[in-house]
Amino acid sequence: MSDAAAVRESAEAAGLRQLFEDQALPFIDQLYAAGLRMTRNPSDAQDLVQETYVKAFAAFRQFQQGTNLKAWMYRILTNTFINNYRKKQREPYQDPIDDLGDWQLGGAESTTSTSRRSAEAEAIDHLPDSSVKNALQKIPEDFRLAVYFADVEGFSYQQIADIMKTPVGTVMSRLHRGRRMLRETLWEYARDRGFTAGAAKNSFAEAKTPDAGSTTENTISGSDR
Amino acid sequence: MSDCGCEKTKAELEEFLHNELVRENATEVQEHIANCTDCSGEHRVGIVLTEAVRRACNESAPDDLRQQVLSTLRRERIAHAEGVAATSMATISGVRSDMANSSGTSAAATGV
Repeated sequence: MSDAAAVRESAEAAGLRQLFEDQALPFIDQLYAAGLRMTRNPSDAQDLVQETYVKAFAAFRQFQQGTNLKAWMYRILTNTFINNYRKKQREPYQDPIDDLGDWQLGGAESTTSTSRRSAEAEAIDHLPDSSVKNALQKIPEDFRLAVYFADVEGFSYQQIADIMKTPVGTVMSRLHRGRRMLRETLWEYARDRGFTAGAAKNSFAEAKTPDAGSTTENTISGSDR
Repeated sequence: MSDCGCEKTKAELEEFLHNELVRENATEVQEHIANCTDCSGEHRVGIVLTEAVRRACNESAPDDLRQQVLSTLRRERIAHAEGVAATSMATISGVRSDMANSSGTSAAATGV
């Protein structure tokens, strides 16, 4: 390669790197948070994100400017996770759609009473982040990721289907079941911690202290470790 | 729950929440919720759940990681410019050896 060509090439590469840094680096917090949900530990999440950036940079010439870079990065993240990390994890991969019985899904929405609903909304609203993360860890991986992609990232069902390489119908089912399990788990946490709705407007209030509203948060977070 | 619209609404609440319904359907759900305590309560739980998950997952990457990624990308550039096929990549912990060739990596990453 001539010197001039080498200079041109390195200038082009530098420009590309700069563009990649400017466009892709802002997603690092989100990708790390997603990595944490996937790997369930900070050190693996860091490796996963690092690897994702290396792969994405190497493929960046093929990224079509003007299309959704965030979704593209998530596709690489998810793919890297599935190929490199899922295998390593202790729990063997199982298709939760097939393996889960309805007993794990808890009560159906339609049978939930109105009073329980308002208590649930209040309980979930007061649970500390650590409880919510715990509950997320407990639901099967594919459900967890679908919930993460939809509720945290706001991806459309079609985008999630592309990222997870599944039909949209599967995404909807994972999302629905994942959210239902999450809700059940959070409700259990709240009850275990003696949650009572702030106002005495439901059946749980009577067994608890009169100022349950102000103690709720402490009660819940105190026993979360 | 015969034909009061509750059954249909509850079935569509999640899609409504995620903005996946076409406009007419979304309007129907909206109108139903406005007049039905039961369904609006259910919808409220859905919103609170989404907010709780979003709140809990609002995490920042460690500064170390940001720096590592940046320095790796810069090494990448040098490697390319020198015509050395991204040898620096092989030194990154956890990166598989099949990624050492950058053109191979491109193909693998875009084939996701």
